[in-house]
Amino acid sequence: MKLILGAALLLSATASCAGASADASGGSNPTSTTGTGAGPGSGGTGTGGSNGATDAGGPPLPPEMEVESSYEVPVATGSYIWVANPDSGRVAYVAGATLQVHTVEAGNAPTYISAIPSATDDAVVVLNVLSDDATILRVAAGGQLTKSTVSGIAAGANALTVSPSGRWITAWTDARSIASPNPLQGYQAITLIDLAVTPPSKAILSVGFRPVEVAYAADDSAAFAVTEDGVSVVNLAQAGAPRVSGNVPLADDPTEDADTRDVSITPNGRLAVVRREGSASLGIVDLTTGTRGSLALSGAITDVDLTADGNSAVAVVRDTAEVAVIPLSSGIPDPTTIQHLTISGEIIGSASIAADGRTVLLYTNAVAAQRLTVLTLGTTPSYRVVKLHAPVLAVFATADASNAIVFHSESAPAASTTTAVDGGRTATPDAGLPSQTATNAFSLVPLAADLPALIEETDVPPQALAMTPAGDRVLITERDDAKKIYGVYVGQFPSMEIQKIVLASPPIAVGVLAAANEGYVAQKNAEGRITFVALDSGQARTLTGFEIGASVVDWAQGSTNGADGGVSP
Amino acid sequence: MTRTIRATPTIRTIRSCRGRLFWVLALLAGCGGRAPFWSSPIATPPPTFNLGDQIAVVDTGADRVVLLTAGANQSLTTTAIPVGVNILNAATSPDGKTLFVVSGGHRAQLGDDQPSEWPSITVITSGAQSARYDLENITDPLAGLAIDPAGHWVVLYPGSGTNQPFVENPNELVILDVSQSPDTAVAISHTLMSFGGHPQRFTFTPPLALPIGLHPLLIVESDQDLSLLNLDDLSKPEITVPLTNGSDTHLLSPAGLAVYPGVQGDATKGAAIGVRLANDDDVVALQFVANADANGNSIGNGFLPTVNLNNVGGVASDLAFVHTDGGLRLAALVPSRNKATLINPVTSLTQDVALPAPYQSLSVVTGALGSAAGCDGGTTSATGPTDVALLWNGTSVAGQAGVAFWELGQAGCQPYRSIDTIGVTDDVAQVLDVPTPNATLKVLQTRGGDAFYILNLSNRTAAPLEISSSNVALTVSPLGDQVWTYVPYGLTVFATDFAHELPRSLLIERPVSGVYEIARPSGLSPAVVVLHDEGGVGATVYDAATLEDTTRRLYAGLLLGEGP
Repeated sequence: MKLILGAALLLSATASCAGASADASGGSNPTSTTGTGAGPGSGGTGTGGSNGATDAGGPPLPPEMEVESSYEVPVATGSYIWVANPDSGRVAYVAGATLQVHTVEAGNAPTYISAIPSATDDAVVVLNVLSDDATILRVAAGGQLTKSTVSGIAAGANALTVSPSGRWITAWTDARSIASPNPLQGYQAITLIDLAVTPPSKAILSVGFRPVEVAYAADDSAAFAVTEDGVSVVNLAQAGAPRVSGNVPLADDPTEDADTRDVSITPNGRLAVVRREGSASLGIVDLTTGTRGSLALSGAITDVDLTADGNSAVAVVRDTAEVAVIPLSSGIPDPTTIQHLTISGEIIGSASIAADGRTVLLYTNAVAAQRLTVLTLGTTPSYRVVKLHAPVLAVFATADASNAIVFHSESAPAASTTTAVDGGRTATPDAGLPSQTATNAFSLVPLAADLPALIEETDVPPQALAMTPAGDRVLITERDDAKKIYGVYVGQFPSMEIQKIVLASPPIAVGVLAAANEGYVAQKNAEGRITFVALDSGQARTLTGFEIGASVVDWAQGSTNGADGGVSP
Repeated sequence: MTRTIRATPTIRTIRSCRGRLFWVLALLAGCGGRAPFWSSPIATPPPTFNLGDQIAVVDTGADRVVLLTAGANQSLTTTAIPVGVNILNAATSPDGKTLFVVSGGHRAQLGDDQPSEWPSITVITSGAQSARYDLENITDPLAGLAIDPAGHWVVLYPGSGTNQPFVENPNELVILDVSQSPDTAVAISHTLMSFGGHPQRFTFTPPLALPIGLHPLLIVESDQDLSLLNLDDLSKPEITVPLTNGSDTHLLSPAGLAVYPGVQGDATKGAAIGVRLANDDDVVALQFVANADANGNSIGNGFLPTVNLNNVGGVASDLAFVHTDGGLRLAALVPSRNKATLINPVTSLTQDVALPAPYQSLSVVTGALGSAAGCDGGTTSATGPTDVALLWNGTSVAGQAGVAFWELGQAGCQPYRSIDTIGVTDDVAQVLDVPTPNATLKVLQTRGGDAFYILNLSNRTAAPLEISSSNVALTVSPLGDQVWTYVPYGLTVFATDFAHELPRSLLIERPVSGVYEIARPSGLSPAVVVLHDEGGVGATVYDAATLEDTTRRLYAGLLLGEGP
């Protein structure tokens, strides 16, 4: 369930670009059942061990909340931060190393931006919502900007998904971001943009009803649109324009409520892993053949996570404390190849797999559990329990899997809240009601060493975080508009040192510019505001007023410093 | 290029009415019954300046500056310094020790007896030989004059007046390094790139800690943007900082700025500039980053300003960089909200401090005090000294006038308790500095003009001195010992010494156009020279220490006699 407990949780751009995981669980089903099945597992080789908490005969627990990746990453490329200004029609890009601000004209109302992976330059695609076109912006290593425009984007697009190779861009409409969508509107038109040709080409295709996620095969051979009708497969490998080669149903029952599904697609584009709320059966669909398989676990599966390489999935059954490690590298797995583990004495409803693919963080946020289980996968998996000092809300592993960051929750479940966040998006629970709300603390947890966790009290609940690719720094924002408390905490590993920096206005995104060794916090301000944090020194520096900042002209430079199309000496 | 013409001063000792050689005047009218000429005001009063130990009288008609030097027994000596023809402007350096005279020159027509002469700047420093810089790269005179407080640069710019060219570019500047001799100095003509703005104010900064090292900047405020010129490298064009969003038709105008020079070698303490706007609630903070290419090679000027807009909730009336417990802050007064806002120029964090009155002006007086107290009145948690600011220029509304001390050392602790008002009931219009040895004093000139105050920064007392006339001029002795009060073109001059705050009147028989206290040669107490704009400029000279009437001397015709 994607949710933000009244706050936006963001991952750094550098830390979250793994593979082609569709992570398509960002559904919107706040009215789905909140109960969980408590029956024992009926299949697999593991043991559906008992769990004290659920065997006590109390009321059913609320669903787990998945908060690790609720929002798209901040739009940062290696050296630049990109910010669109729909009002001015310009996109500002700020160099993290020099703090120089530039602006460039985009189309009419540039609103949505996505980074384009590139080894040679910094590039983004900007969706201009009023002119229904997209602008491709690239800044070379020397600072030269080039741009190209792809016109005729399917109207109403509000989301961009770029292939890991940077070749393909899909502009599509996420109905969940539309307030009161027309029931007769399927938002089925998507636009595929091919950047391999000059000028970029585009094709408008029709996919299933109301796509919720788009993903790509790692080899760029296909794109996948997860829809209520199933997974629409777009063939990208054939000569000529891309075309929809088929639709793979995810269930036998075509009328199944798609909002209760949590769909993940493996990076190689071969499999879709489908978890259904309250179901003990895990669906695995071969997207190349359309074959559907299912794996029965010991109870209702509360969470599924894929390793970064997509070779394994980890499913969790909270009621039985079961963890199933499912091999995916050979297609739909034989049930006998699944490792079933029971974390005895613990309540575990959520799993978060670190980038190393071996470290799995198990926890629950359905009850006030002050514990975290660190599971190490292998031939003989092992685990240890880490004592924390406040209930867990969410857990994030650093990229090197040596440490973790835990956001804490209040001790008692709270009522549902849906909070609008800046940027026009609304945080919506994807399954059930939120069980807990964030509280004023986070912890830094060593994983590689058996050392105690460090808890840090914050002024208001933590909001979002970003981590460096090396995993040695983490930035955690806090925001409370009513109390006018805004800040960012910079945590260091392995020293566990924490520095707080007060911000002048509400943070709306946090990220890391790895190439510049800078962290940044974009903030709410009519003129545009970003605070940069030097990751080595912790020194903060704020820029406010992108339009004016970009208009500064050094006439000795021989060219325009700021806005393109502007003046030059 | 400049060309050197060494001015040859003409020195003349003037005899007073009591002088034994004043027989010519005595023959004409006698000391008691003089000719009407000596009482006739001159057509155009000459500009006069106090150079510390001389008074400079700019004799526009004669293309010269006459220096008045006081000697023993209140004697007065005139020294005529020739300057270029067609005097357009004259001003002293901020320290008051050097006079700059701008001359428009002369272009001889066919058959003209007067030879052609380039526009020029004549620099006259008390006790030193004057120097004249001919500006051979401009044909038409520029009357505007801006002077570097450090005495290094002067800038000419188009001024107003009938002598200005028919067509002029308001962004044309002529920059002259007057630290060099006229033989080597090169006047540089520079036209500011303009988006339509007209220069309004010029600020010469001290050397700023920039990414490329310590360099002074010339900051030109136009009516819509700023221009930054590196005075150490005038071969490079300037950097322009627009202040208006390109998509906004409402042009924002700078209304003043503050400069923090920074600390060279400390990356966390780079230079910063604060700009307040005349028609917007934003205060702009500029800092500097390196301007380099991908290989780290410096490009352009090698530095660029970064912009931080800080909304302070109202139009700021004054601003200054101050040191607080929390570090460097840009303090902005917002009289419409009865508050000041402390802005962290690095992070844009702001902290409001409520004020008891809508003060419009702010002066940092820490330097006069030496150091400031901290939160507990004696120590401070700040890593460096913290500032004390003087707030003034409130409104004429009863209870909202006067001045207040603002302890910035306490700003990080309890800002609402850091304001200390002084019981000055009048609306303070101007704060005059007092030189050493009384730098802890300030003279507060009130808007109504019927009183002034001597404010003691150390013990925070304000001694009122009432005036029976509302048309009063105040000048503080450059020697820092007393304040002079007089009614322009009246017959009243008072000296109030700072030691005892006792007003003493002078006996003046001619209308007063200016009062200047100047030093005399070693061993002599200073003299006060009261100028009279009649009879070819006259003067009454007193011993400023004794103010003894019997030893005073009256002079007339100071601009008469031989020419330069």
